[in-house]
Amino acid sequence: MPSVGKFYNLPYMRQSKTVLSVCALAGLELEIPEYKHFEDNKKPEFLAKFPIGKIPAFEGANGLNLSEGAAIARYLAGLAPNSGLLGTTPEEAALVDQWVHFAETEIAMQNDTIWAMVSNHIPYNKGFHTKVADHQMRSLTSLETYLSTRTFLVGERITLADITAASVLQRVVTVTADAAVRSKLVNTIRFLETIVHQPKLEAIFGPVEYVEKALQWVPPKKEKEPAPPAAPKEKKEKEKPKKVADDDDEDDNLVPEEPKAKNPLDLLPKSPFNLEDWKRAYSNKDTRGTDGSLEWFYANFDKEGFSVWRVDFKYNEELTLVFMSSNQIGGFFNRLEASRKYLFGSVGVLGENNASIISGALILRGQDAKPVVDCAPDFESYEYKKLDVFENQEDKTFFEGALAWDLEVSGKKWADGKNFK
Amino acid sequence: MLPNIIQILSAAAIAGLELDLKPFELGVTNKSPEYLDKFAMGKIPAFESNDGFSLIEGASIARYVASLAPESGLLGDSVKDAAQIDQWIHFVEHEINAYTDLISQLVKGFFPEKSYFSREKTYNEHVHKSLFERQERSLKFLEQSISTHEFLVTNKITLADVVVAAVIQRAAGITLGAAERAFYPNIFAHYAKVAADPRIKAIFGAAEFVEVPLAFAKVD
Repeated sequence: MPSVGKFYNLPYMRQSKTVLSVCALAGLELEIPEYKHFEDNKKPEFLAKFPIGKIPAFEGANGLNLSEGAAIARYLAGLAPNSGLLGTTPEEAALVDQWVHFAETEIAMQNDTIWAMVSNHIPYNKGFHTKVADHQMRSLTSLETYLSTRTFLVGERITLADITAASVLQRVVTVTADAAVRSKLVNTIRFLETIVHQPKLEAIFGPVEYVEKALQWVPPKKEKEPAPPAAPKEKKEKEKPKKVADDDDEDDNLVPEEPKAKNPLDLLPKSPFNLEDWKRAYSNKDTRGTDGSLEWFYANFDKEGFSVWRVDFKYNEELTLVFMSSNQIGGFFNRLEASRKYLFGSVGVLGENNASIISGALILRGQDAKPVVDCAPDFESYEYKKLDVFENQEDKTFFEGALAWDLEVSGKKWADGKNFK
Repeated sequence: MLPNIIQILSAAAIAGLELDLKPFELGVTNKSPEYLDKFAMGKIPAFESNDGFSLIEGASIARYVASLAPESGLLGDSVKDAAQIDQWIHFVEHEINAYTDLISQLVKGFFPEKSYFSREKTYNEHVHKSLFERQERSLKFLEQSISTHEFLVTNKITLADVVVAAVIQRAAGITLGAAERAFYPNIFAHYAKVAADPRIKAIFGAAEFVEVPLAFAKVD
């Protein structure tokens, strides 16, 4: 079969996997010439065909020269309408479009930005990193919900949308979607595995490498630095950051993981109160009333091993729309992820647009809130007050209201909330 | 108006199609159960056809609208034209507009006016500079490519021209001041031509170009 054209690319790029997968399913033959990045794409012959100077690039046998992975993939998919890769109706084609665009702009872009920062291709900034990661997480959560009732993104068979999303997700699970995050993206991971294991695509995608812990930035060593922390430095190379699909990146060496320090919360004496059991009780039972989760709580709580706290946002005058404040709680909870084992929260927005407060309750390991919450860079934006829910009636009322989502403070009623569990 | 809205309205205008623009309140309309029923992600822009087909993602909506009127030439006259239009749209969205967005968020500290997350923590001039350099590299390529054609793909306006012009209009309001714009005469000549097309002139509106690029303003 004659080839439809030449495809200049680097095989590990997600766009390459997408284009090659399209050809495999569309039954198209593609020629892959020898290609040396940073050399061949600077030559006049290359630039004459592809002024953008980037890869991937496609040189059609019919004289069409095309840049931009997504455009190449769609063009090739369009050459084989019977493949169904672009759906079978204009509406399905538009939906395929929609998902490709969503995956690229709402998930991949964020992933690339974070990768570029943690590998020092652009300067690192923790606030920016957090913001971008939050954005990506919202998108992944939407995708997760959508995939909870479907196998494929559009219609009942594989399309370009699925291939593109899978190639994006394959990268995401090596950078930001670590074990903790993936536990909340069960359907998304199931989807990824389904696509990368399609018989014709398995060899193209290769193995999916799941990162244990999201890539973090390691500040470069300064000249005169004090000795590294007591814990032995692990030079074990766990995560291999895949090269970014950007043509000005050089090969990067592996970034060694930070030494694992023991969490003092794990060294506390064993407690009969099991936080996971509590979370299950809270999720499965009604909060108030007979055989409710509050009843379970009072029967099982261990005041020595755990404590209950009231949390209030310090800058309520800055809050505007209720849904934005709700998102803020969500963001705060995302950043508390590292303390998942030690924390339960039920925090809400009380009041109305432009007249609201953020307030709620936390149940945490130990007798001090700070070691549990200080993994979140913005923990100091909140005030923490220890509660005695057994002896103090006011504290008890507050706690129960926060858990039952009917808390009222200073006349402000609970409008929306989030749980950390 | 953001590029994704401009491109949808322009596609409809040039295609001679009418769009019913629904009243919309951000944070209210897109949180209502009726909206979320159709558009589960709660995002805008969102499109709903008369027979109940729903779509999100500005670029996808614009392309679908354009595809309903093939005689308009918005998607070119051949499969190759369509692919090249695709290519340009994708390029300016990812390699120019994405950086305008990121820089805009950086200098505005991500939240309007006051912020729970101290703005000083999220602004970083090295990140800003790095992002702008990437945008500049893309603008250089665009400048060179635009010089050889009247319109980007065919001999008349296509969706690619509309999107490029909209993205450039936005950049000229955020990252490109007068001095920066002077480096890209071809780009801005193309912009002027596209934005002056009588069918879409009102959509592009009176663009507010900045004298100097937006900078981070420290809060006292």
